[in-house]
Amino acid sequence: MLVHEEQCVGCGACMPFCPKEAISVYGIAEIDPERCVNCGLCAAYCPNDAIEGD
Amino acid sequence: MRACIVGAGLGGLLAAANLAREGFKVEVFEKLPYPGGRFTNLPYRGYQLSTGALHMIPHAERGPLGKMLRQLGAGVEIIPSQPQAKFRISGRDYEYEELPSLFPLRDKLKVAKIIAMLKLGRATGEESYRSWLEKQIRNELVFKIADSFTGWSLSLKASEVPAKEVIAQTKNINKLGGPGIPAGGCGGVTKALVDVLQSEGAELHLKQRVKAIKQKGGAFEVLAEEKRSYDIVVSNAGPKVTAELARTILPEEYARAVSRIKGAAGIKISVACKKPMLGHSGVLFTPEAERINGINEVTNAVPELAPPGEHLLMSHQRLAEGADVKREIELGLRDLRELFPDFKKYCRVLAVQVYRNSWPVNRAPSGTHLSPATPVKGLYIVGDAVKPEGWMETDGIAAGVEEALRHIKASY
Repeated sequence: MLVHEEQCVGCGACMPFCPKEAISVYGIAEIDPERCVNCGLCAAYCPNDAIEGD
Repeated sequence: MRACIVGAGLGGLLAAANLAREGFKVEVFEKLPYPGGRFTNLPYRGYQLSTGALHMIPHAERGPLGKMLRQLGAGVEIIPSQPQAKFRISGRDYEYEELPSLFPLRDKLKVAKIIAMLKLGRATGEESYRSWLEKQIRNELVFKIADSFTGWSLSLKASEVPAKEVIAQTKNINKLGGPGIPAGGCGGVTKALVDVLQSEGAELHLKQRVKAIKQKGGAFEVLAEEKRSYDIVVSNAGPKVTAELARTILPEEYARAVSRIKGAAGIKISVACKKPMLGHSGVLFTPEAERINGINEVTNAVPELAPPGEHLLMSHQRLAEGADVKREIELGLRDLRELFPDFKKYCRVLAVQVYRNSWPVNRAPSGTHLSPATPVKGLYIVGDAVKPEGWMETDGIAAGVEEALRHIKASY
């Protein structure tokens, strides 16, 4: 999954929904590509349309 | 009568529940997979974080939100904070009434006078709270206390909010009392409202984005997954998005005016604690901290917001426009370590959440007083951009919904 940095506000809504704990949020969300399984949950829960599948 | 509600944030849910009880056929559209917007829980590692609000309602059961929830039959207990608030100054915590004792005699009387003036209410025009205070006193600590209050409750500096707004808010605090914590946190309130919608036969469509609001033959035509027709539309999507959705029917000047509104931004830090760090359920204002305006520890009133025996502490700080967000977070974290010398031993940061741009603390700063009625008859706006004078946070949202309902009842 890819985070669009200009759209992400860093609200953290995605983080708890990640089943792989691949997301850390500090100012903006960052997704660890090693852990990410592209399930898309983070994108569904993002209020700001800031995450997309890659 | 058919009502369409755009967005299932607190304002949208309150409007929907009220209209459903008034006999409207209500449909709510929410683009996200969950209702509640910035007012619901985010379960994480046994803690109930929140999508936005700090699990607190400004006037507990006695304010507009508490009153409205009761009238709707939404059974949510709101536990009053005890004490309402404390102020940490030079390492000690003081109650509001004790504040004058902190000042030398000459200023003591002035501070007592300011407290009395805030209670009795005197200020006109657009004068800021800061310049109103400067007329009474020149004392840095007074300004810091003012900034911590407005930073916590409004995400603004005292220089960014009209004095008359703060005076009206203080009057309400004096009349109705301070904050409370809903059982179940923000999510407890959201769940209770969704239950009301269900029992009133209103439909809540999640994962359905509204794409356009138009008018056809005297009715509204709302395009979501399909096109449907309504008599009224209440938008909880914020004034800017609403103006965008309804651009073919709203006058251009209106869209231009709302596009100029700048929201209020902030940073929340949620912390897991192995022991109570505050030990009470009120707000701790932190006027002397570099960035943090205030802290609460909601688990002293509602223990189920953390795993058994643990606590959830949350700090809030205003975020200035154009500030370096990562540096602001660093400063907030440093404040926490300085405020609690044993922070490292007992505490663990769970989440740092920033609210700005399209997902702010408030879509309009307090004191804006945008009307819930738009230039298009039948199209209304609710949410945190629509707060009548004197009402802050979620009580402001409920008071704005009340005002919207008055407009609707007068016309339909």
